[in-house]
Amino acid sequence: MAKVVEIPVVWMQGAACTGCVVSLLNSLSPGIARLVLRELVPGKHVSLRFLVTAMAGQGRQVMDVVRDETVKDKGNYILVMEGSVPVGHPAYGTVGEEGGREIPIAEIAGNLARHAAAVVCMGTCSSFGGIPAASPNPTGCVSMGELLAREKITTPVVNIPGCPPHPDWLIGSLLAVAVYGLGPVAGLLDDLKRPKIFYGKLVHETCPRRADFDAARFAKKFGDPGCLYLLGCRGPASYADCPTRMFNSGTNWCIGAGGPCHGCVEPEFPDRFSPLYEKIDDRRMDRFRLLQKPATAPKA
Amino acid sequence: MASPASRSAAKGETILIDPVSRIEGHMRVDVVIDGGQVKDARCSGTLFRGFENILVGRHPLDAVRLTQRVCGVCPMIHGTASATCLDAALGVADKVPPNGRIVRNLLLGSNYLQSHILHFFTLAALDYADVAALADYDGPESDLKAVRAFIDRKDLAPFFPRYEGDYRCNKQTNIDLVRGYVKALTVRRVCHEMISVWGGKMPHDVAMVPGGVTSEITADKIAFTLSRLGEIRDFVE
Repeated sequence: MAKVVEIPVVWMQGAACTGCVVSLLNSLSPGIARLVLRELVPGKHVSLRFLVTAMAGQGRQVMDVVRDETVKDKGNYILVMEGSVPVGHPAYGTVGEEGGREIPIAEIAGNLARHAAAVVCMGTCSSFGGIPAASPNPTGCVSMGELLAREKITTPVVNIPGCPPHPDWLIGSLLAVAVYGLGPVAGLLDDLKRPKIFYGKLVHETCPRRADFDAARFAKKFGDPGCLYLLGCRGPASYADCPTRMFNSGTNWCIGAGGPCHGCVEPEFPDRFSPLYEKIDDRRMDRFRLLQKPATAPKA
Repeated sequence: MASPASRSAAKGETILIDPVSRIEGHMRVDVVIDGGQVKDARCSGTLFRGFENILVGRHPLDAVRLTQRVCGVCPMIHGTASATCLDAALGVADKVPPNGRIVRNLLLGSNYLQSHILHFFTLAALDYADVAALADYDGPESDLKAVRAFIDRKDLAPFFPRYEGDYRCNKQTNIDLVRGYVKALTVRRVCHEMISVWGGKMPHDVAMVPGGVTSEITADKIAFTLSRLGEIRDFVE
């Protein structure tokens, strides 16, 4: 049997809700059992070394895993960071204890990032700050990118925002990093370090209700058919393939359930998109010229 | 091993577990033992985000979306609590239409199923099930053969390291538990599909709003839900 190369993954959680882990558990192809037990592609297997939500071990024995990983897999493991990093006070978030001192999340996340091959920011919190960093940001949360900048850590970063992100977005990105390496992958990211294959188009561009928008058929209240523009949809300002990929095994997506897109994949989420159900700033709509009728309408 | 900083004034040896794994969130437990007896035990959540403060001054409707982010395992209960609070505050608690009430209950009930399966299998089961019992499995089941092949590769994360010792089930029971553990990973996902068809996506739905839900009720969604519920019921029974 050919040797299987292990892709070590350390999944650390900061100011998070575990929704990103649960979204990963929702993965359909590969299913999570297949992802954990079998080769992702022939010859490569994801080894989930550290994930508090799922791992068998507890306490010091799993903290030893973290310490060992930064030594024996130095420069080789992928750090998946879920949640933003509270820096307002060390006690706002801690994981484990060393010599009688509780270890702040910022310290452990920084150490892991420094020795990782890459940092994959899973979710909007670690990518951009997200809800824990929302006003008044009670615990001084920062994104992982911000922490790395402060600590002068130069490990490459891939952002997989979403609240939570679609599991395909993470698995596809992990696989690309594992197979192609970081060099080529860096060229596949947008200016916010999101993989363009998943975040390349506006929700508004592929939305099945786009025809309603163009024809000015707008939902006025919840449950109405038509475009959700007046109910606060952030689709015109949000880059993600939700309309075509759909969540939960392709079952549905936000607008499919009559809920406007809240732009959860964007750095503006939630504060600069709040109130969430208020019509989007019209200046953002300038690029959608179809709203304006041509001066001389063609005869039908 | 350095002596952990006990949070208790009780005298004795302190056992510290930090982090406590297979839960949602960050947790530590300090237990003080003296003469073979537990003298004190303290659990602490080791993450503070300040959700209450984040909600102050926001538009009330946003609360149903934001509060779900308290927990990605049980968002629907936070969403339901928030929506029913707003129903009361807006004076529409008695005006939620029957379909709105039923869909809300489906959203919450499906999450309830999801949480229970997640807790029993994905989280708690590894304290009881000995995955190592599959090391010499030679039966026909593909999932269990995959577990054996996984053990043969010798990279055993996330099932090792673990506390060794008190796995008291016999071999057949262990095999049954591991089979259930693997199967539960699929069935838990199906619970979320049941929410998604009404709620848009999971974790964190978009359909629950004051006054009812945003989603339309159609025959195909009812068929979808009954079919998924049947799969879950088959597994539970």
